[in-house]
Amino acid sequence: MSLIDCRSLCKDYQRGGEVVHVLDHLDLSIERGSYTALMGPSGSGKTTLLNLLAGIDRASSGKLLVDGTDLAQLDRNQLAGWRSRHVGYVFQLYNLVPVLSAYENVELPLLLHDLTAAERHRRVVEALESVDLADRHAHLPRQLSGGQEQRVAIARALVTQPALLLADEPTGDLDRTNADAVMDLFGRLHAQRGQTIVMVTHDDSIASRAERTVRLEKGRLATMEAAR
Amino acid sequence: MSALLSRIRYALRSARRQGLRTVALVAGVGLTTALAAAIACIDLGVRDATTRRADETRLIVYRENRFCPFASALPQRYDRQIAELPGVAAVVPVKIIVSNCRASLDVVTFRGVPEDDLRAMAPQLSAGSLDAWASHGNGALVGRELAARRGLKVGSSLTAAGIDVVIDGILESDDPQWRNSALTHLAYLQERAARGGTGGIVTQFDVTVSDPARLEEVARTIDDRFRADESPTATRPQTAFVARAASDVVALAGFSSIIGIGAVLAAFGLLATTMVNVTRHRSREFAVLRTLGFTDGGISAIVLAEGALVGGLGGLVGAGVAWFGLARAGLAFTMEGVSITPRLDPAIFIVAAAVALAAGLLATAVPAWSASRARLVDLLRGAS
Repeated sequence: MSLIDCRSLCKDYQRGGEVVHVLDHLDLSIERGSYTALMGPSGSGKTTLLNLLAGIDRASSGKLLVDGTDLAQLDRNQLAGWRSRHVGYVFQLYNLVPVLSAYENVELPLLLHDLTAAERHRRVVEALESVDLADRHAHLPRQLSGGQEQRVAIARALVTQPALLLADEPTGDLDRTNADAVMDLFGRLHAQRGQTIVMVTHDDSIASRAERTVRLEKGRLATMEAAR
Repeated sequence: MSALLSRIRYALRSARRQGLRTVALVAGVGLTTALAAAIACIDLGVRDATTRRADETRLIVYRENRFCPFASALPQRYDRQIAELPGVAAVVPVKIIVSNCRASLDVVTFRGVPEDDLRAMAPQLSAGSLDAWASHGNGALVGRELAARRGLKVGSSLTAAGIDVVIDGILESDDPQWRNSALTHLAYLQERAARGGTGGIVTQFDVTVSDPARLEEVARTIDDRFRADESPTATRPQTAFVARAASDVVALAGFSSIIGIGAVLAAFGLLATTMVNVTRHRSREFAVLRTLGFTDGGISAIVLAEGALVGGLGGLVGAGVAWFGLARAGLAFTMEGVSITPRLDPAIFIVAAAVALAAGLLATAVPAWSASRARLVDLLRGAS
């Protein structure tokens, strides 16, 4: 069953009076519980697609259904609410709020949900434990290593138990050891929880951790292959 | 409601973690609020002392063309002649000696009055007694503000302008002239005066008229009565007398008000500029929050809450500092023996704190709006 369904999806930008077709009639389905790597050269539309899937940007035309919702029908605030319930987003540069502790960063998305303080606490602790950082809950981002920061960011993305985890080059700023740790974590989440993951990467070895790799070229689907 | 509280909590956490910035902003708003509140209190005090009231009944009879207690000399015997004039209810001859004739914040003003007249006025004392004062030739009843300024208590002594007195009571009064004076026996002050003779000479007469509507008429009658005498008089309502005597202070208060308004506007501009820069600097953070699901209104609420926190807290601190400082300082602008004191009206402090809160919100309104309206995808290009 598809969690994501793109039909003839287009995204155009105006650049200096010229229209750039970043996504060009893209057709793509992603199954619930799957683990997909998005690859392709710069400008191929990977991040744009990820932004459309997250409701961060809007398609110029075509149809995009995510978890049964037609995102084109939602206004800005409805999209924000939908995002908080359905999507966890992991940035390349972690983007933790620097003045908040690891605990407070993970708690942040839960402030938008109608939860008791006890339930919020339980979920934050659980999320931090799932990324093996329970003992760093009081640390500020500047007191954490890059790998730890990214794991906190993953905990923040997972704490609302979203249907879809999107990651934009999550290991792009990490050394090999930390990159492997993050990929191990993604693998565990997928295997143990059946978490649907869509991850943009340039790195073949990282992409090989996913179940399948989707390659984009010039805004179109070039190849789709299962992991070896 | 819980959503709003969560945003306020976020703003509080953010403000707490940016401690130095928050403290600097709160201190800036607080100082401005304190300055504005203090100036408003002084301005109110000046208005109280110089604005003619419909129920005003007090006239001050001074020597014509004299503008200082050292220069004004009137025969004490005038009191009987003034008392006989129509419309006059009471006359009190007063000898005034000041430690400094020029404008100052710490002038000691001795006011010598006859014992009978003082008893007739039934002064209210917070310490000491009128009988003790009556029994001491060099006794003095000091006004509350002068006592606070000089640390005077019943039994302590005060020496100024060559006059030595022993404190027999602390005087409470609505009249700032009394709150900032030392009331002595008239004869004692006449005797100790360096100039003005050994007796029979006073500085002024405090005249009470029976009907406020006849204030000007009685003043003219008094001056007409002594126009051809050895010491012609100039009689004015007390508020007009204070306004003339303390004209420099009044002008200074007016100038201070302009400076106060300028300071408030400058502080508002700085606050607004700072909040714009802070918000711009935090565009990445807001992009992340919006990615997490914060709505446009949620982002605005965070920025506004921080503005309200800075403005509200700064306003409370500033109003508190101004109140405490003015109450403790016992400030009195005295010139030519006339005192003007700030009036600590609670409404001023409430309004000052409310204006600071409104300024905090107003200063962050535009940054809040722009933070919420920016396109998320554009913000994230700089964030990822």
